[in-house]
Amino acid sequence: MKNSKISIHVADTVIAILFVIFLAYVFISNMEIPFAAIHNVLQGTEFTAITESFENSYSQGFPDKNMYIDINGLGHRLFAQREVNGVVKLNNGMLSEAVLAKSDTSGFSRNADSVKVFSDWMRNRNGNLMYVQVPWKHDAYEDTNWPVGIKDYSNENADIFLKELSIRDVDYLDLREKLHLEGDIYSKFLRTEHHWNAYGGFSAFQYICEYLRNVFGEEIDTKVLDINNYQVDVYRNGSLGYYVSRTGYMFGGFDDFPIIYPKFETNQTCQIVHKQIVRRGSFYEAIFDQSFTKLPWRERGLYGMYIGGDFPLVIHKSETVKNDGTIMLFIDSFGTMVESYLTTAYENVIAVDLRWILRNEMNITAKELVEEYNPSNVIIMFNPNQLGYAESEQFQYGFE
Amino acid sequence: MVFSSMTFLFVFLPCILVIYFLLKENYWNIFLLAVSLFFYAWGEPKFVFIMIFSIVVNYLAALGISYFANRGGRYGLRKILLGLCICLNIGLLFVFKYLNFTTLYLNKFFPSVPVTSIALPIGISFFTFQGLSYVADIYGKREEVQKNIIDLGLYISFFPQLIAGPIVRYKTIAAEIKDRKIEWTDFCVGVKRFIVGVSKKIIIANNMALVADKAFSFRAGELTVVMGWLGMICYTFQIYFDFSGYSDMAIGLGRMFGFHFSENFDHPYISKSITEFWRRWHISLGSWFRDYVYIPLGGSRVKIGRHILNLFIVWLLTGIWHGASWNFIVWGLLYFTLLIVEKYFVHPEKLSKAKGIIWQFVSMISVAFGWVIFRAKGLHGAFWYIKGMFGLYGNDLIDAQTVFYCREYMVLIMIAAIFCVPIADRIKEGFSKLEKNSKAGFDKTMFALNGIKILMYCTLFIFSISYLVMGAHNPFIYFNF
Repeated sequence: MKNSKISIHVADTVIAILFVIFLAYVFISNMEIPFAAIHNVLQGTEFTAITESFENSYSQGFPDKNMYIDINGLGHRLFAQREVNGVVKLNNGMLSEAVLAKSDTSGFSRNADSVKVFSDWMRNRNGNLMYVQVPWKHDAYEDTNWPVGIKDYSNENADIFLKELSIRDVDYLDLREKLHLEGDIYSKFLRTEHHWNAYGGFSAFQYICEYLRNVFGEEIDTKVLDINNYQVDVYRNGSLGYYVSRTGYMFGGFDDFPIIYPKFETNQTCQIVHKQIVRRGSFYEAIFDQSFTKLPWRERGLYGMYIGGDFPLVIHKSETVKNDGTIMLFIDSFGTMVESYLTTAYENVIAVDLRWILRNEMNITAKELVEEYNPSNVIIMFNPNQLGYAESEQFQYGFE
Repeated sequence: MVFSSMTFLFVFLPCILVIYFLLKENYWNIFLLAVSLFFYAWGEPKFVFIMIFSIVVNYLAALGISYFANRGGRYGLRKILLGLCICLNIGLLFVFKYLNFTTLYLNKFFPSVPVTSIALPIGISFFTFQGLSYVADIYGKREEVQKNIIDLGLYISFFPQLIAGPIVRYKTIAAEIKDRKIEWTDFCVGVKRFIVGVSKKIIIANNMALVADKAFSFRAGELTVVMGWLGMICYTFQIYFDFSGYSDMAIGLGRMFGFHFSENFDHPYISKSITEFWRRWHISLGSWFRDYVYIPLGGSRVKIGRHILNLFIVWLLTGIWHGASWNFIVWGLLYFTLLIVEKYFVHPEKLSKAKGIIWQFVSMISVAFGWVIFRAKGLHGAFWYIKGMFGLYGNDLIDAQTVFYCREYMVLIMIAAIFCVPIADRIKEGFSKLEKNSKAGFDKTMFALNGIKILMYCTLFIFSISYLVMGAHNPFIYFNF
C-alpha cells in the first residue's frame, strides 16, 4: 500500500465537505426520482427503459435549475460566446434564434393549398380572408446585427410561403416589408424573446387595419389607429423573456416591457372559453392579465400579460366600437397583441390558436368556428417558424 | 453509466459513499463488487454476464496455474492453462469487438459468410487487458494468486476504472484490495481530483467536441481549409481532455474509496518526441504493451530487423486494440513509422536545441494528424479531410461559418492550450511556496489562498454541473474501447 500520509490544507477539507453536502442536497431534493425508478422496476418496466429516462428526469427536476442556467450563461459570456442553447446574441445585444431551412419544401405548397381552399370558401360566403406574415427578429432586407456565420432561414421560408400564396391568388400582407420601411425593426421587438413588443404589435394592428380599409373596404374609426390616443407605460427591466429561460439572465439581460392601451373610453369583455374566464371593463381591465406582474422576478415574462398567453379560443366583445362586425383570427403567440388592439376596431373579435384547440381536445374545426360565429373577415397570421411543416395543425382548417 | 452524468453524480455516487462508509470493513469488497456490476449493467444489463464470465475464467486460470506451480513446476500444464486463458480472453474480445469487422470483409470475398452485427460491451478492452495481465503475472510468478473470487472480481470490475481505464495492474492495488484504510486526506485529494476530471471533461472536452464534430461532419469539398485545421486542433484537445479527464475522475474516485491508481497521463502535448509522447499518453496502455508484448518479444535488445518487427507488432496491436477499423490500424502503424524514423534516424536526445524544437513541432503535428486518422469516418474520410486541410479540393480558405466557430471557441481553445501544459502544477507550487513563507497560525495570505482554492474548485464543479443541467452535448470518446 502506498503511503497516504500527505499533507492537506483547510481548503481541501472544506472542498470535500462542500462536495459531499452538494451531492447530498441534490440527492435529497430529487429523491422521488430514484424511488419512482425502483417502483417502476418492481412494476415490471424494462430496466433499459428506466435507465434511458433517468438522466432526463434528473435534468428536468434539478433543484434551483434556473440558477445553473444563469451560471452557464455567465460562463458563455466570459468565454466570449454568442450562442447558448440555440439562442444567439445579436450584435445589438438582443437575443434571437436561427430558423432552420426546410429540406423538403412540399410543406409550403401544401399549407398554401389549405389557405387557398379556406380563402375560396370565405369568398363564397361573401367574406374576406387575408394572410399576414409576421416578421422574425431578423430584418428581411438589410441586417447587420446577425453574427457572421449563423444562417437563419426565417425570411427565406417566409418568401417561399408568400410566393406560394401569390401563385394561388390569396390576399396577403407582408409585415416584414412594412416594419423594415419604418426603420429600426429591432425597436419593435423584445430583447429577450422572439416576440415583438407593444410597439411592434400596435404597428402590426395599424397596417392590418389599413389593409382591411383599403382592400376590403372595412369601416374602421381612424381614432383607434392613432397612437397619440393611447397611453404607453413601461415596466423598466421588468420582463425576462422565453430566451432567458434557455440562456440565463446573466447572458441575456432584462427587458423593458411597454404596454399600450387606449386613453379613450372602452368597455369590453374578454372570454377565455376553455378556462371559463371572463374579464370585463375597460381595455386595460379586460385585456391585461395583471397576475403576470405579481410573478416572482425569475418567472416574469410579461409578454403573456396580453390576454394571458396563448389560448385555443378567446372571444372579445366591445360595447364602444362603431364597427359592429366580427373578425376572426387564426394566430400563434404573435397574434395576441394584434387581437387585443383589434378589439378597439371591431365589436366582435374571435381569436383561435389551432395548436391549442388540438392539444385541449376541443373537437371543433376552423370551418365549424367560422360557420358558428360568421365573421366577415378572417385573418391567418403566423411567424416564419410556423411555416413549411407538412403536418402543421396551424394549417388544418377542416376542409381536408 | 458515465461519471459525467447526473445519474452517477447525484444518485449512484452519494448512495455508495454513504453505504460504503457505514459498512464494516469486511463487507467493503463485496459491496464494491456488487455496485460495480450494477454500474456496468446500467446501460445494457445482459453484458454483465460477459463481465462475470471474464472474472470466472481469469480466476480459475490463475488458480490452476498457481496450483501446478506450487506442485513442482508442471510447466506444460501451466502453459496450456495460460494459453487457454489467453484464447478465452482474446476470443471474447474478438467476438464482441472484431467479428463484425472480420465477417464484413470475409463476406466480400466469400458471400456465403454472413455479416454479423454484435453490440459492443462497453470497456471490454480495458477489463480484458486487466484480466490478462493478472493471469500473466501469476504465470510469471510476479504476484501471489488471489484465492478470493470476490477480491479478484473487484480488481477486474471496480467501477472507477471499469469503462475507460486506467488499465490497473494487479500489483498496484493487490495490497489495497486485501487491506486498506479510509483516510480523510485520501478522500479530500480524491474529491479534488474528481472535480478536476469532471471540469476537464465537461467544460473543455465537450465544447471542443462541438467544433470537431462539426468539422468532421462536412462532405468532401465543403470543408474550408481553416475549418479543417480548427477541427484538427479541437479534436486534439478534445481527446486529451476527454480521456485524461475521465482518468482523473477514475483516479479521484479510487482515492475516495482508498485505492491508489497509477497516473495515466502526464501532459503529453509538451513532449519533445514521439517516444516521450507515448511515455506521457495513456501510460497504462503503453506500459501494458511494453511489459506483456514488447519485452517478451525481446524488446530493443535484439538485432535491428527483429527490433523493427517487435515495434511493428506492438503498434499494430495498439491500433487494433482501439477498435475494429482500418483507421486505427493505420493510426497505429503511423506511430510505428514515426518511432522507427525517430529511433534510427533522428535520435532526439542528441539533437541541438534548435533542431530539438523543430522535431518537437514535427512530433506534435504528427500526433495531431494521427488524431485526424483516428477520428475520421473511414480511411477515405481521413484522406479527404487531410486533403481538404491543404485546399487540394479547390475548397475555400475560410467562410462565414468558420469565422463564427473561430470567434465562438477562441477563448476556450486558448484555455485548453494553456491547460495542456503543466500550468496547474506551477500554480500549485506557487501556492505551496506562499504557504511556506506565510507565518504560522492565522495569516491573511493563508486565509486568502485557501479562499481562492475553495472558490476555484467550487466554481469549476458548479459550472460543470450547469452544462449537465442544460443537457449539453456530453459524448465520451473512450467509452467505445
